[in-house]
Amino acid sequence: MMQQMLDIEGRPALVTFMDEMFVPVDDPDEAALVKAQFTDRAGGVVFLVPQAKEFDESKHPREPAGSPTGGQFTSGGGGGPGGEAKPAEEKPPSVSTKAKKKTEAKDFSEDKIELDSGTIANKEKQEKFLNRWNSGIDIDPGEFKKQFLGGLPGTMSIYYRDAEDTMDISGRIEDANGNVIADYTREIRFRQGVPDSAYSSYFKMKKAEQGGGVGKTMLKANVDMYQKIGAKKLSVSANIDVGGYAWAKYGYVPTPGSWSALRSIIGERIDKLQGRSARASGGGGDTYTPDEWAAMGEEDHERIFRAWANSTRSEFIDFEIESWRDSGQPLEDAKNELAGNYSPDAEWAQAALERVREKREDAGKPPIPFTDAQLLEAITVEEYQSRYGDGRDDPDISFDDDKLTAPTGYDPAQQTLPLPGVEPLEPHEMLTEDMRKDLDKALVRAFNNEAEAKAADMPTPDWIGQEVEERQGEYWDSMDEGGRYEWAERNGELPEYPIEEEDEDDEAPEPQAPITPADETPLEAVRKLAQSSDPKALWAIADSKYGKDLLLNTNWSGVIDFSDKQTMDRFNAYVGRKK
Amino acid sequence: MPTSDEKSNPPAREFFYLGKSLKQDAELHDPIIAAGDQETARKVARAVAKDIGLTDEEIVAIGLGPKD
Repeated sequence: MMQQMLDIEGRPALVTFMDEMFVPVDDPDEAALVKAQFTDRAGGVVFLVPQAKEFDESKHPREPAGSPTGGQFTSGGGGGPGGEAKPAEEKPPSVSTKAKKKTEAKDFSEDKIELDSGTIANKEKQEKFLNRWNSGIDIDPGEFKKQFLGGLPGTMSIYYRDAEDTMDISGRIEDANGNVIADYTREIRFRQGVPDSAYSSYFKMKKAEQGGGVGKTMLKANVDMYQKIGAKKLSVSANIDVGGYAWAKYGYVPTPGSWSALRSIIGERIDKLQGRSARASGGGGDTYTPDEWAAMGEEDHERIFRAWANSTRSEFIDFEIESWRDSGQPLEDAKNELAGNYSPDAEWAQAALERVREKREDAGKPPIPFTDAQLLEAITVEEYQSRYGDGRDDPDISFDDDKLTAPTGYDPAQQTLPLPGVEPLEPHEMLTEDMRKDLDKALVRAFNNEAEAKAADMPTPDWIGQEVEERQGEYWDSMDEGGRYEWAERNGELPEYPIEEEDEDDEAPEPQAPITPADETPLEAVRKLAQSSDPKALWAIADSKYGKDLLLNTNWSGVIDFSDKQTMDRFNAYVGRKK
Repeated sequence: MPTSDEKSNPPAREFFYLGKSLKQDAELHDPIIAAGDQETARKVARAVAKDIGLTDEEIVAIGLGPKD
C-alpha cells in the first residue's frame, strides 16, 4: 500500500492512493483516487482525483454532502505521485449530470418528457434519436429538463425531425400554482451526429406583468445547456417593438443578410434625424413637418392609416391565429379528426401499446394476453366532442369485446366443463380490469399528445384573414392621436407641408440653435458604424444615444457565437446577470 | 416550422406577449436592459467602434464614453 505524507495548503496529510473501488494500490500511477487524512489538530479527510484521471461518478454515487454517511469527492488538481495535492476549496466538486447509462425511450416518459409518437413507434427513427441523445447530449432526460428550464416548473415535449436532424423542444412554463405563464419552443440542430446550433423560435408570455425575469432565466439556462452539449451558436429573429434594439444589447450579431438590410434602414433613419434637425433650425428649406396629429389633413390621416394597416397586418393575423389557438378550437378539431379517422394502423395507438407492455413488464405485472393487432382491431374511439369546445376533455376509448376472441393461453375446451359454481371465462375477460386501466391511461395520453401535435399543424381557417381588416379598424379607432402621430413619426410617414409666407409673417418661428458640428458629428459617427462591414457595429449603434431611434421596430435575424468573447461578455452583461 | 437558416428574417416569435392585439415585448426587455451591466457592454461596444475606425472624440460624442 502506497502512502505518503504531503503538505496540502500548509496542512500535513497522510495520503493513500486508491483505485476506483477504494482499494489501496502500490503504484501511484494506477491511482484513481487519493485519500488525504489531515494529521493536524483539525483533522478531517478529503478525497482527491489525480489530474488527468477521470473519476467515474456513476460507479460511486455520492451521499449528499453533510449527510451522516456523506462524502464529498473533490476534483482538485495534483495528488499524483510527488504532485501537490490541493484541497477541495480550490475548485468545488462538480456534480456530474452525464447520463449514468444509455438513455432509453422509456426514460423520457418516466421523467415526464413527451416524445413524438413517430419517435416512439418508428424503431429506426427512435434509434437515431437515442443515438443523438446519448452521443450528443448525454444527460439524464429529467436533469436536462430541469437545467434547460433553469429550474422553472414546466412541461417538455421533444419532437425529433430526423430528416433535418433537429430536435424541437417545446412546452410550458408554470407558476407555483401550476398556471401556465409562458409557452416555448426551441430547436437543437445536429450536424454529423452532434449538436451544432440552436434556434430560439418561440417564447410567449401570457402576461406582460410577469416581466422579463422568467424569460431571462430561461434564456440563460438554455444557453448554458447549449454550451454544455457543445452547440456552437444560437439564433433569434427580432422584429417586435423593442426586440430589434434589445437583442443587439444582449450581444446578438446580425447575419450577413440582415446586416446588409439593416445598414440601409439605419442610414435612412440617420437621414431623417438630420433632416428633422435641419427643419427645426429653420435652415433646411421651405417645408415643415406638422407637430401633432390634428395639424395634418384628412388625406394624410387616411394615408397614414393605410400605411399602418399594411405594416401591422401580419401581426394582426398572428394575433388572430394565437387567439384561435388559445381558444382550443384547433385542438378540438384535431381530436375530432383523430377520433373519426382511427384505424388499427394508428401510430399513436401502437406506441401506447408498446409503452404499456414495457411498463407492465417493469412493474412485474402479468403480460397482456392479446397481440397488438388484436387490441388495435378491438379499440373503439368514440366521436369526440368536448364540453366547452376547447379540446381539453379526454377521448372516450374502449375495447370491442366481441373482437377479443383469441387470447394467448385461452383454451376453449377448458371452458366447456365448468366447475360447479364457477362461471366459464369468456375470451375477452382475459383482458383484466387492471390491463384495461393501464391501456386506457396510455391510449388517452397518446391520443392527447398526438392531437396536440396535429393541432399545432392545423391550417388556419379562412375567416381569420377576412376579420383582420375589421379588427385593424377597431384598433386604430381606439388609438389616441398621440399614438397615431408617434407611429407615423417613427415610421417616416409624417407629411411635409410648404411653409406659407403669410404664416411666417403672422408668427415668427421660434429661434432655434443652428446646427453645429457638435450635432452633426455624432450622427455622422453613427453613420460610419452603419457603413461598416462588421455587423458587430450594431452593438455600438445600440449603445449610442441614438440606439432606440435607430433600432426600435427593426427586423433582423441574429446569432450568438458561444466561442466569441465579446459576444458572451455582452450576453452575460444583461442575460447572464443574476439581478 | 420556419428556421433562421431557411428564411433571412423569419417572423419574430421569441419573447413577447400579446397586448391589445399586437405582439409586444417592451415590458419584457426593458427590465433586463435596465438591470444590465451597462458599462461592461459599453466597453465591448467601444472596442468595436474603435476597430471600425471611430476616434475617441466620436466615441464619446455618440454616448459610448465611460461613465463615472
